[in-house]
Amino acid sequence: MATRANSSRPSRHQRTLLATGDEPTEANPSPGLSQPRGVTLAAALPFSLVLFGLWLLLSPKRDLFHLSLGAATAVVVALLAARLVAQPPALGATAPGDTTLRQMPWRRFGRYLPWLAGRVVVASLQVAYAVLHPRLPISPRIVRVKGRNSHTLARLTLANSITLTPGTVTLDVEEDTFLVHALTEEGARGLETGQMSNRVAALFHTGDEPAAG
Amino acid sequence: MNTIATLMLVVGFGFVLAGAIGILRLPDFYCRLHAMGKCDTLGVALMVGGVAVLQGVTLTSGKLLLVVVFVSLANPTATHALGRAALRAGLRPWMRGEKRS
Repeated sequence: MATRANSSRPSRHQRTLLATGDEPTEANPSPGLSQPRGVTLAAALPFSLVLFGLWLLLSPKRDLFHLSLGAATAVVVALLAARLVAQPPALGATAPGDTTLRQMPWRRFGRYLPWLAGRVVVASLQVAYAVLHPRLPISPRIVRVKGRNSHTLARLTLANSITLTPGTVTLDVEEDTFLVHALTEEGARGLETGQMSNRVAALFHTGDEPAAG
Repeated sequence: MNTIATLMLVVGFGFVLAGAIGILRLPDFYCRLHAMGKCDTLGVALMVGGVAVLQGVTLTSGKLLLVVVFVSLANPTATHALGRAALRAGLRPWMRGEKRS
């Protein structure tokens, strides 16, 4: 793990390693995050562009010095973070065929977000109604919900979506089972219809795969 | 423009207020999570969004929208982390019919 002068440029040998599938397993722990092994400059380019856009938004100075500083920072950060982007999120056990953040279907995700935003508004109104009602009409309960998504990124999205929507908070995820605390009975019943699970499955196109476990 | 911004600010304020009342009124930790995680996310998003509308299309409003994005990412994550920590620590959720603590 010694620092090499050209650590950002992987050797041909390392690139072949990446091509054959370099899975981060428990037995073969990934090397330190500071060393982006097997990461090409081209692979880190989309993320650097996003970071540079962020720089343009945050920095009002538009002269050459500040712009080049921003570009350099964006590329360096993208290279350093490349391993994080390339790894599936650490959520329970990693399933075979796991997707990483880079493979996220961003375009379909853009269509999923407005629907989710609508659910968030409904959720907030329901919680606000229950809270402001003089008799406090709640009946909290814990339910187990089976997700139909086998891979980690889909489960992560579903868990976060459940937390945001009507009267439910995801407490824990075991394999594909979600432990959910529901504030009201309607909230629990809404989950059991599986509408959200189906939406997320459609988002990731994993609906026809059998659920793992 | 001013009307929209004012409306967003007032509605956002209402949601944050509902969240605060919820934290006071709800019976246990898990239920309070709901008040904190939902009402506050939308409330803060509406309020900061209202300020952004008031600001018009400038770099500053872009930064404000960035605040909205990060709050709506961080809030559910924190809510889940708190709930999971409580569950792992063995905190039993309150059920209907029990005495309120």
